Amino acid sequence: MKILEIRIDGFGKWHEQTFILNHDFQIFYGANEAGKSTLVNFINGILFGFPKKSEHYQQYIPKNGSLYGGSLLIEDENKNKYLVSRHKGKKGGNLHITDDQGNEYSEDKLVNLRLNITRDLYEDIFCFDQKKLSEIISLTPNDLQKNLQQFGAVNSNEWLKLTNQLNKKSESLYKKRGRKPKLNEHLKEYSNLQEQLNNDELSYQKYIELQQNINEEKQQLNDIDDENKLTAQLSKYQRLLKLWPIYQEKDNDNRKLSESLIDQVHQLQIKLDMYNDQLHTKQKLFLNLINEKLNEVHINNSVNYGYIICAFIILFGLGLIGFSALKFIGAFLLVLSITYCIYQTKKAKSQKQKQIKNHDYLLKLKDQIQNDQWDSLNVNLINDSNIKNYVFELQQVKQSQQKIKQKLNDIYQKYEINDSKEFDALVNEQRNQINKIQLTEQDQKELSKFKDINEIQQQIIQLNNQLQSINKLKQSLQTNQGYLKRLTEDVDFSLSQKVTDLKEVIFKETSTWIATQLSIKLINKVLHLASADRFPKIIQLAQKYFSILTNNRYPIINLNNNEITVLDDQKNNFNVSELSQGTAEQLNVALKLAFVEVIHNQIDLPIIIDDGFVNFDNQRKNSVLRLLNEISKHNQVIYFTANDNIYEQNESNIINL
Amino acid sequence: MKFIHTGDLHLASPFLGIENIDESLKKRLYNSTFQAFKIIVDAAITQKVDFMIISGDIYDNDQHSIAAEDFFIQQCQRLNEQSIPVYLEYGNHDFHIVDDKLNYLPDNVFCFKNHIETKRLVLNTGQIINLTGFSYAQKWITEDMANQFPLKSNCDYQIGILHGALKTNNPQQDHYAPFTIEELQNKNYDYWALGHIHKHQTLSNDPSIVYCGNPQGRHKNEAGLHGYYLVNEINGKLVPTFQEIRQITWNNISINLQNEIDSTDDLINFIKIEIKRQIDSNLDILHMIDLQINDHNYLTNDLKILIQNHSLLTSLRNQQYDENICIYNLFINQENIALGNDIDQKYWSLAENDILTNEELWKIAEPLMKNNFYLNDYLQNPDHLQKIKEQVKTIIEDRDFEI
Repeated sequence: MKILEIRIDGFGKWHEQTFILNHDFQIFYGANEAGKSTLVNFINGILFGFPKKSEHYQQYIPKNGSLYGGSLLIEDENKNKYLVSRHKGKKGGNLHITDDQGNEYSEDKLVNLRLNITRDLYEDIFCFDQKKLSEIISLTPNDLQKNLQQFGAVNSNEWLKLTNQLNKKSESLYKKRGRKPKLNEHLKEYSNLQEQLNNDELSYQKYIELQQNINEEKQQLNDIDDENKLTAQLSKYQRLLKLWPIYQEKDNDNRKLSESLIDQVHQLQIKLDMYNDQLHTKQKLFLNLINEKLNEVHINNSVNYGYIICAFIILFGLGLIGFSALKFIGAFLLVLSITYCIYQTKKAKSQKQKQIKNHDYLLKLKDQIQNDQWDSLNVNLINDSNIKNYVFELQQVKQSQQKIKQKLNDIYQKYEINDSKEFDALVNEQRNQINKIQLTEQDQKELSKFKDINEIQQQIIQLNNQLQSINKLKQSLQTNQGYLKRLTEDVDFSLSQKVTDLKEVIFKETSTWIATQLSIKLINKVLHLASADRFPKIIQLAQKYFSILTNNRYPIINLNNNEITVLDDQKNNFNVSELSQGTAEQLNVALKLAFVEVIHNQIDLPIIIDDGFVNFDNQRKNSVLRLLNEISKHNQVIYFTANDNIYEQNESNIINL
Repeated sequence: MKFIHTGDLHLASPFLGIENIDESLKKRLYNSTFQAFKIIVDAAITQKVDFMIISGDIYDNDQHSIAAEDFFIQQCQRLNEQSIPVYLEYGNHDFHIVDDKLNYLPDNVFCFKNHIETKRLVLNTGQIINLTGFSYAQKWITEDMANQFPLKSNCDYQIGILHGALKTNNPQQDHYAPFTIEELQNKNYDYWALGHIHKHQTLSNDPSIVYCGNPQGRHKNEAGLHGYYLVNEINGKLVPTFQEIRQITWNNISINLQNEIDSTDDLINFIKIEIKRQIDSNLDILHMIDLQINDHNYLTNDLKILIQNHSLLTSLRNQQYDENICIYNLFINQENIALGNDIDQKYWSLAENDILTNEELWKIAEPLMKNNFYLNDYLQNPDHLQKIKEQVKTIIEDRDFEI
């Protein structure tokens, strides 16, 4: 872009002034206070907007109240001409852009024309003034590089702006240790959901387990005998258990006391009773008889004794009477009575003995009878036929009784009953039971399988256990099914979708973040490549310029690490700080000019020099001017100076201020 | 004799790409796989079919879900009550060690074991049906299982059930019981019930070799009709007829802007008109629409930004003008972007080669991948990597970037 005309309406001391720049190397000569800097600021103001009061640029508001502003006639690389005017107004001033056809353009055009560069940057690169030139002390390759990168490629600074924006965006998405950025948040959310997912996984495993358990239990229930069958068996055995005592009564097959048998027994019992009664009464009678007899004996004994005594008395009487005549009769009677007495006593003795024997025997008999010792009865020694008969009768009764008893006992033994009481009890029991339960043939068959009551009880215990385990199984099944139902109801169906959705969001944000980062890297790489290419070119050119400017005193510029050094023609190395002020400034000029030259195809803007080179001696000044002349061949140079030696050089391209 | 052939149910599998739609629609989508199977079971009962074949992938092992299991058991129980047997095998997504002792499906369900076996069904008519198949015991089966199927024998009809893919003779791809059509034909079976490919299709007609496809499409790549096959016995042959299930369809719609559009309302109206033109929304089907806008040069930068940050999509959806239409994705078709202008083209190309590489990508992603392992899979997929690179170009191309 070239500036063709400067038209000022009102700016600083300038009022309705137009300057036409005919030459590519246009020199403005003006003494101090001539308004050189004002012009520089005017150009910048039109190009970039008038500064606000608060900004660090001067406003140059005209003191005489004239219209503030003006215009520049600009020519772009295609030789199109545009009139850019700016006057007082907001946002840097009211801007008008027209071409030579009268078409209006928006600010975008201006931006286009000045190739999207900021004022600061423009001044940095293209504007040379004393202050800037003397700043070379702080110039490092990095600064150079940074500056270069800004112009390394087309619209470099625009790209750099973009990378800043991208960085901001990237940080709003994700920061390595961040919490607030969106992706960080979502990642956290996801790890929280992971916990839920894990729980769900556990639930699922539990579900499978439950289903398998339920299935197993169902199968087990199927395999086990039908519960009903078992229950029936159990009640059967329980019934059999009750019947067992009844069954036990009969041997082998016939435990039941048949009615005929009961009758028989009753008959026998009755008979027995009868015999018992008979026996009892007869016994009684007999005992009475014996007692009687016993008493008789006693009486007999006493009568006998009396007899003897009587006889003695009689004799004694006689004896007394007959002392004379009857003595012999008396003696005879005495002897008779004595013999009789002796005989009587003997008889009585034997009788007595006999009676005693009888008596004893009767006693014994009585004893025996009383003690039921029938077997040893021996009546042969008793000659009392009554007694004998009685005994005989008694024996007979006893025999009969024994027979009956034996019969009864046989029966009792057969049914393992101890006595009639038990029999009666049993009959009662049976009678009671028979009212309730009938012992069927089937039952009898079943009962016959068991040896004793324990076996039945064993079976019952076993069956109970089986039923219990079935119950347990059923309960377990029910519980499991309950769990399953709850598990199924509790489940949050949407979790899986939530997780997937979140994953999708995370993936998208991750992609965007990575893409953004990559873009930044890419842009920087491009700029780097572009600039890297140019960098050696700049050094090369700068070297050339520096050499010219210093009259070949310093032919080589070097960049070591982060330092710029120069070599003189003796190959001595000089740090920038070791150079004289003037030489350092020359170096700066060389570098800047080289820079502008190298990026010329990106940024084609006029170089504006505001009274730089103040410290240059005449010779150097001339060198500079020569250089500038060279450069102006493809880059407009606008040079403001207060040095009147300028007139020695060229006259045609000087505008007098 | 007739039966139903279905498969690839993918019950309870989540849907991809629907994170922006509202909850009720999400629920509807999520339930659609269940609903589809229910419709099939309804049909089986109404049609009084003799049996049902499910050729694999009933669930996703990665998406264990009690809901899915429970639902499936219930539906099988419904069939059980109608005395309709179900013959099923497990595929690569729901691979399973099949053990009858641990099986708790209802009694009418017969699962094929992990080796090829033949199950025999005798119909009321006395006809004998042999069904031959096997279940996957692991994710991949690289051997040719079809070869090992027995020849047809001792029956009226023999049906083969195979979950797998056609042989490509590329060992990197033949992971799913690869087979050739010829192999299947050589077994003399009367019908081949295939599973695994989600797009329903008939590979051959004599005998019918059929992929039933999944009953409900789950994302934009499964657009088109979905359903199941009802197979009838006609003149001694088993003839399949496709039965459509109409619930939710996926539509990939492309719109060509013909003129410059500078306002949001204009754009929205244009979109609505185009959609109406391309989709008949009168049937009670939910249309999920993935909308691509071509000729983006007709759009102003502002509009482009609104599209990229999803505001336009939100506005469209907020208008909710048709409940059978859901636009879940709206994007601009970016043609291949070349970066840089003439002067610097070479720098851009160089830089691209250097930076737009997988290695650089993974380097940047490293802090993310380290702590979030599920991202590793995502970032190993070459398609995703490519997309990210394209995204870079879009960012740079669209320079007016909104934060």
